[in-house]
Amino acid sequence: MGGVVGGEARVTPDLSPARLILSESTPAPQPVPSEAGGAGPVHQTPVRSAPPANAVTPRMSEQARAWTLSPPEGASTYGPRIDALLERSHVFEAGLAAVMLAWLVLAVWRFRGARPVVAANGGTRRSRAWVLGLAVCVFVGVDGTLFLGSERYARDVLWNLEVPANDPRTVRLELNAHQWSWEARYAGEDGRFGTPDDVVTWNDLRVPVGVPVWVQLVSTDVVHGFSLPAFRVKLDAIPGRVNQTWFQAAREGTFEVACYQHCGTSHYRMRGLLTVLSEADYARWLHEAGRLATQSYDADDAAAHWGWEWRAP
Amino acid sequence: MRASWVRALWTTDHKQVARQYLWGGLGFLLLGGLLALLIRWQWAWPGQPVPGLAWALPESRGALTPPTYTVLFTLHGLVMIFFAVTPLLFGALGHFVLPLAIGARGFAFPRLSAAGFWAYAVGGALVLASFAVRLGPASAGWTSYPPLATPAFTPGVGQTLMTVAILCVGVSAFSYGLNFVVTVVRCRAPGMTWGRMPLVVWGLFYGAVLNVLFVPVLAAATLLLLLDRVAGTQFFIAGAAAVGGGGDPIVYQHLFWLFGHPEVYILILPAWGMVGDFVAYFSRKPAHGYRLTAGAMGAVTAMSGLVYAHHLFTSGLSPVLGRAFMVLTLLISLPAEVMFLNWLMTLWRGSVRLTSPMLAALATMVVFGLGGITGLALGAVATDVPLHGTMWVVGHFHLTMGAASFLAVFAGLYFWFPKMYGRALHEGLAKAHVLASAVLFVGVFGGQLAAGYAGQLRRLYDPYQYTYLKHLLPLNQWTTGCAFLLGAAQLLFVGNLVWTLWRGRAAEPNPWSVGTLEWTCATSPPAPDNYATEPVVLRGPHVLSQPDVQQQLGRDWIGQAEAAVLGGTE
Amino acid sequence: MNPEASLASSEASAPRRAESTRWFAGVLAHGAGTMFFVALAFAAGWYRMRGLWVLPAVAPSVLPPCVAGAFLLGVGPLLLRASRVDASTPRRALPWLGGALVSGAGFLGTQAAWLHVMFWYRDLRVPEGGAFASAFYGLSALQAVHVGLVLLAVLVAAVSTWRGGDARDAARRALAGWLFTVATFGLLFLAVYLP
Ligand SMILES: [Cu+2]
Ligand SMILES: [Cu+2]
Repeated sequence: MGGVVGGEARVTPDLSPARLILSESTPAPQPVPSEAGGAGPVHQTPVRSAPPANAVTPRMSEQARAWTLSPPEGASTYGPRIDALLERSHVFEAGLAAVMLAWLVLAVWRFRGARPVVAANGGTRRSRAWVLGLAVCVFVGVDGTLFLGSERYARDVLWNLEVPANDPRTVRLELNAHQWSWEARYAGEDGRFGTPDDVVTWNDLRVPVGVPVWVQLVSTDVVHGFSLPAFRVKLDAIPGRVNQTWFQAAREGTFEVACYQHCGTSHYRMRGLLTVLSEADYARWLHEAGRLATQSYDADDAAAHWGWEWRAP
Repeated sequence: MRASWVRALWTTDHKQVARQYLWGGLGFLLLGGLLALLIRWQWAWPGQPVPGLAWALPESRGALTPPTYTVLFTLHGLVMIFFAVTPLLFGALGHFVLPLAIGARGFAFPRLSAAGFWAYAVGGALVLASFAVRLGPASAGWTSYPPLATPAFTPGVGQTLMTVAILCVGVSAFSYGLNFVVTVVRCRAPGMTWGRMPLVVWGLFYGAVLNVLFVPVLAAATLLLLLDRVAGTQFFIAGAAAVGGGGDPIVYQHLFWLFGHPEVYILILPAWGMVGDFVAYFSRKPAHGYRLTAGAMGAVTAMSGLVYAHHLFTSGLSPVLGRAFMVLTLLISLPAEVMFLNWLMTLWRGSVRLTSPMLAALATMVVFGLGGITGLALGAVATDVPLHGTMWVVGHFHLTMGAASFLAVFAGLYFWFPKMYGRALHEGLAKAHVLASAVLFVGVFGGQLAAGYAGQLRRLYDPYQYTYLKHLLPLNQWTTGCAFLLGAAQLLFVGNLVWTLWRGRAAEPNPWSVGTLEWTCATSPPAPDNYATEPVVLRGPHVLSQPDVQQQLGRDWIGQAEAAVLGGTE
Repeated sequence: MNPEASLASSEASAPRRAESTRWFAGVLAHGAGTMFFVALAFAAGWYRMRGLWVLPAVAPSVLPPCVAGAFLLGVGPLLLRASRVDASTPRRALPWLGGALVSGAGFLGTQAAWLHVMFWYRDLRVPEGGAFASAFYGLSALQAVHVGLVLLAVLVAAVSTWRGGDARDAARRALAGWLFTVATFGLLFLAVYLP
C-alpha cells in the first residue's frame, strides 16, 4: 500500500545513534499542573524543562522494571497525572482483592468440616442488609473515586481541546495511517494545510517541547490505532472519519509511535519515531523542510495532496 | 442398522445432545489451547522454530511467520469463545442439567436442540476445513473488524468460511437460547416455583435470555460483513482518508460490541450460578441471600446491553456517550459485588468440604474476583486510555471469561460427571487438576497483566521491535513457562477421564449428598424420560443442615421432592 | 414466585399447555427476529446520520410502501376475526383466513412490483447504489421473508380448517407474527423509505 509521496519533500530523520536509545536520559521531576484547581484552564505556564543530559537519578535496571508493574517511561506534561490516577485506583483495587481473598481463605480454613450454624433461610434480614450495605460502600469507595478522578482528567485534559485551540503556539498535525506506516503532514510556516509548503514525513514525527500538539487522525485503508506510549495517548484511526486528540511533551528525546489495532500481517512493524525538539530546533527544521517541499511541489500529483482543511473541535 | 446410526447421531434426548456437545467442546478446547501455546511460544522465543512443528510449516522449518501468527490469535479467540467455552457451558452442562434440575422430562422442543447441535457441528467443520484452503484460515482478529475483514484486505476463502461458521454457531446459540427460556418458563415440575430453582438454572436462564436477544445482533453484523465479502455490497468499505466513501466501518464495531459485551455475561452467568450452588452445597448451608443473588444476576443481565461502548472509548466516541457508558459500566459492578459477598457469607459459619467441584468453584471465585477488579480501570474513560489495547486487557478478560468460565466448566463437569456417565471420577486427580489449573491461570494472566501495565500491546508478532518493550522478554518467558505448565496440567484431566470411562467405578446414587432433583429422583445416568414419575417439588435446592431434617432423617440433606413427615420447609 | 400459578398451569389440560408453550416460543422467536431487524435498521440509520446515504437520481416515492402497508395492516383484523369464531363452527374461520391471505399477498405483490421497477426501470442497482441500495433491497427482502413465513402459517391453518380441523390457535399464533411484521415494516419505513 506504499502510497506515493510525490512533490512534497520526504524528510528522512537524522537518526544519530544517541537519539535512538530511548531510555538513556532519565526524566527530571516533571512540573505537574496542579490538580487542586480543577475547573480552571489547566495549562497556563508553558513547561520548558529539557533535562540536562547528565541528570542522573538512580534508576532500576531495565530487567527489574518488568516485574514491578510500572508504566512505560513518561515524557508527557500530563502523563504523571494519569499515572497517579491509575496507581491510586490500583492500590484501592489491590486492597479490595486482598480483603476478599483473605476473607475467602479464612472462611475455608476456619470452617472446614466445622459444625454449621444455620439460619433457616440462609441468612437473616440483618446479614442481608449488611451484604447490601457493604457492597454499596465498596462501590462508592472504589468505583466512586475512580469515576471522579477519570472524570476530572477527561474534562481537564483528554477531552479538553480548548487547550490546544486557545494556545497560539499549538502545533497542528495531520496524520494518515497506512498499512503499515504513519504519514504525517505539517502545515508549514504559513500555518495552512494544503499549500505547497506542507511538510510530509513518514514514520517520523517531530514536535517542539512544552507546546500543545493537536493531532487529527485518519486512515487510508483499515482501522489502525495511533498510540504514543510515553505520552499516554491512544486514538483509533478509522477510514472515513477524522478523530482528534492532543498532547504536550515535557522533555526532549526520541520516543516511539505504535499501532495498537490489529491491521494485518505486518501490524507489529507499524512503528514510528517521535522526536521532541527544542522550540528553536523545531522551527529551524520546519523552515528547512518547508523550503525543500516548496521546491519539489508538484501540483498534478493528486495522491500527494491528501490533507484537509483543519477541522474545528 | 441404518436406523441405529441415524439414531446415534440425530438424537432428541437432551442428555445425549449434551454428551455430543461435551465431546465437540472438549475437542475445540484442545485446539484452542494448542493455538494459545503457540502464541505464547512466539512471545517468549520470537521467530524461533517451534519443536515438532516443522511438518506443518516446512517453509520456515517450524517457525511462526507473521501470517501464521495472525491466524493463530484469530482462531484462538473464535474457537475458544464460540466453539469451546459457550458450547461446554450451555451445550454440554446446560443441556444436561437444565431439564433435570427443574424436573422436566426434556426440553420444550427436543428436535430444536438436536438441530442446534448440528448447526454447531457444521460450523465447527467449516472452521476445520478453513485450515485446508488457499491463503489459510481467518486472520482478521476474533472481532473481524472491517475493513480488514473485507475481501479488499483479507481475500482468503478462510475468512469467508469463518464468517459462515459464526452464523452457524449463531443459529445454534439462538436455538438453545430459545429452548432454555421456553423450557424454564413453561416446563417446570409442579411445585418448582421460581424461588425453588437451583441458582445454576437461574444462570442458564439469564444467559439464554441474552442469547435470544443479542445473538441476532451478531448475526446482523456478520451478515452485512458476509454480504460485503460475497455480494459486493459496500456496508463497511469506507473511502480513503478524509474523503467520504461508500460505508462506515465503525457501525460494525457498535453492532459487534452490542453483542460482544453481553456475550461476556453469557459466558459467566452459568458459572456464577454454579458457584452459588456449589458454595452452598459444600458449606452444608442454604445459600446466603438466594433472592439477592438471583436478583443481582438479573440486574447484570438487564444492564448487559447498556455498557458495550466501553470497548470504543478510544474510537472518537463523543464525550456525552463516553460519560454515559462509563457510568453504566461502573454501575454493573455493584450487583457483582452483592453476589460475591453472598458467596462469602454462605461459606462463613458453614461446614466447608473441599471436594473437587467445591475447589473448582472457589477457584472460579478467586479468578473471577481478580478479573473483575482488574477490569474496573478499563471501565473509566481516562484510565482506559493507557491500558487500552494492551496485554492488561488480555489478562483481564482471560481471567473472567477464560479462567473463570473454564474452571466453572470443570466444577460442573466434576459435579455432574457421575450423573452423566454413571461413573465416578478420581477425586484426587480432579483436585490436583483444579488446583494446578487455578494457580497457573493466575500465573499466566497475572504475567499478562504485568506486561500490559508496562505497555505491551496485544497481537504483536514480535513485541521486541519496540525499544520500550525490550525489557519485557524475561517476564514473557516466565509467563510462557506458566502457560506450558498449564497445558501439561490438563493431562491430569485427560488421564482421569480416559481411565474413568474405561475402568472407573460405578458412581454412588448421591455422591455429594445434595437434595436437587437430578440426584434424588433420577438414576445415574438418568432414563430417557428422566423421571419414573413426575416429581412434585416441595422445597428449595439448598435445604441443608436443618435441625428438624437432621432429627427425623438422620442426615443433613433432604430431597427437593422428598415427602417427609415434616412437610414443606421452604 | 407464586406457587399457585405453576400449580394452576399444571392443572390445565395438556394440549392447552402445549399450545401456550408454542405461542410463547413463537413470540420469543419473533422478538429475536425483530432484534435482528432492529440491528440492521440501526446500521441503516447510522449511514443516514453520517451522510453516507446517497439517494438515487430519482428518489423512490413513498406511495408504493404506503399501499403495501395498508395491505399489511389489513391482515391483522382478519386474523383476529378468524381466531374468534365459535368453537362449534370452526369452518366459519375460512373466509377470514382467506381474506388475510389475499391481503398479505397484496402486500407482497406491491412490494415485489415496486422493487422490480426500482431495479429495472430506475437503475437502482447493487452494489453500485451504495449503502442505500444495499439497505433498500436487503431490508425489504428480509422483511418480506418474515411476512412470507407468517402467511405460510396462515395457509397451513386454512388448509387444516378446510379439512375440518380447528385452526383458531394457529390463527392466534399467526396474529403474534403479524404484529412483529408490522413493527419491522414500520422500522423499515422510518429507516429506509422515508425520504
Ligand atoms: Cu496499524
Ligand atoms: Cu465489555
